[in-house]
Amino acid sequence: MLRAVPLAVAPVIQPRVRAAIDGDERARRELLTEILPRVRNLVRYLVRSDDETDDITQDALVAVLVDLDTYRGEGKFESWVDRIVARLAISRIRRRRDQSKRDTQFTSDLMLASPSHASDEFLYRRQLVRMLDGLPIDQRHVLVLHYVLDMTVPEAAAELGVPLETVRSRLRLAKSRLRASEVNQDDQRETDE
Amino acid sequence: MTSTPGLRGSLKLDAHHGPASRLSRTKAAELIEKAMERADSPTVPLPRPKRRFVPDAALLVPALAAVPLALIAGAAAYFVSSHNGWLPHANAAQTPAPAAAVYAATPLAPPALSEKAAELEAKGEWLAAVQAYEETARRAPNGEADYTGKIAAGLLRLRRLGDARGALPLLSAAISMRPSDPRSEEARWGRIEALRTLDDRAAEKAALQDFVTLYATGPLAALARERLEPSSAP
Repeated sequence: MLRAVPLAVAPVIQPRVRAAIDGDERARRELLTEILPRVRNLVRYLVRSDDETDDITQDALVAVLVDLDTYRGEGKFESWVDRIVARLAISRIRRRRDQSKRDTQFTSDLMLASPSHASDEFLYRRQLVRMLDGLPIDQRHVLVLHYVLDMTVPEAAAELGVPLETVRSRLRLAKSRLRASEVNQDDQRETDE
Repeated sequence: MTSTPGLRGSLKLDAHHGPASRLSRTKAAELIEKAMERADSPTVPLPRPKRRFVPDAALLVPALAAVPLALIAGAAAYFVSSHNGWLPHANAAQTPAPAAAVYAATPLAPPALSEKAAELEAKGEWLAAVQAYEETARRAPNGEADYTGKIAAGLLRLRRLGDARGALPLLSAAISMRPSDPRSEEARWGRIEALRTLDDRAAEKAALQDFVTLYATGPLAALARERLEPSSAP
């Protein structure tokens, strides 16, 4: 007997996500619990201080819940969340920057890591994000969209509402600064030795 | 560490390993509950950015305005802690949080005080949180709340108020209370950081050697060994 062959794979929404979309309170809570660490990590990549991370994370979680019924299952749920979080975080940072030009004070809490979190990878990422903290915020955002969220240059340009060439230029500048910062660190290490 | 050609491999995003700092389960649950509440009540305004801790000392001395905030906070915290014992002066910071005198007048038992302290910490009201943790410790001498309160207050003094001198006796006392408790690892590491900040190199070295012996396979052991190298002096 002949079977109908689907022409394309229909989008599939995982049951836990579907339940959350349908308003199941427990499913929504579980979903937020699941995505929270990743959301915080992405927000921290985008902001310059730990102090701001949780405020923006909370706003991002609200945005995810509010937009949940627009998720169609086209692509990974995580990627969909990443986009919402990045968009909201960048918008919040811009708004705060416009409200006040104050510099955020970077408070080192590297050692706040509890032993269970203080794996080498954790320490490594903390070092990395400290280097990002030295970048101008616009360059940082382009870098994170491109290298963390794997956006192409045109996608990042569309996301940020800036010309392609601006994105390319910010990427170049960001990479140069990171290289310089790395060289400085190496120099410092050699001086110390 | 981060040669730019390898940026894509270095800047990883997942649910583990940072770069966000740690988050307690309680705080994570609070974050989620608040988000759900706000999503269900869209009229609730978004939170304003946190106000930062600014000690009165900085306001009284205009020349200090040019000094980085961390130095001001550290200097102010040191000033108050060295003049008033454990407790900073009630008016040492422009925070709306209650001062120690208020806690002394409330009937809150230590567990409730611990919760209050954790709430204040979550709000970023570091000085008020320190006061609450210290009061928690004072009200339950030699108990669990004393031990955890001292560690929490010590680490906050050290890392948030820049008050290494005030942190040191708190952390030392906690370690003495329960030297083999796993949580003393963090207290010992905080003590090492405090000694380093105070440039007490001999004591820091001794503390590092103890640390390496006690937690040879712990996550901070490698860093401790590195610091014991002669070239790692601050």
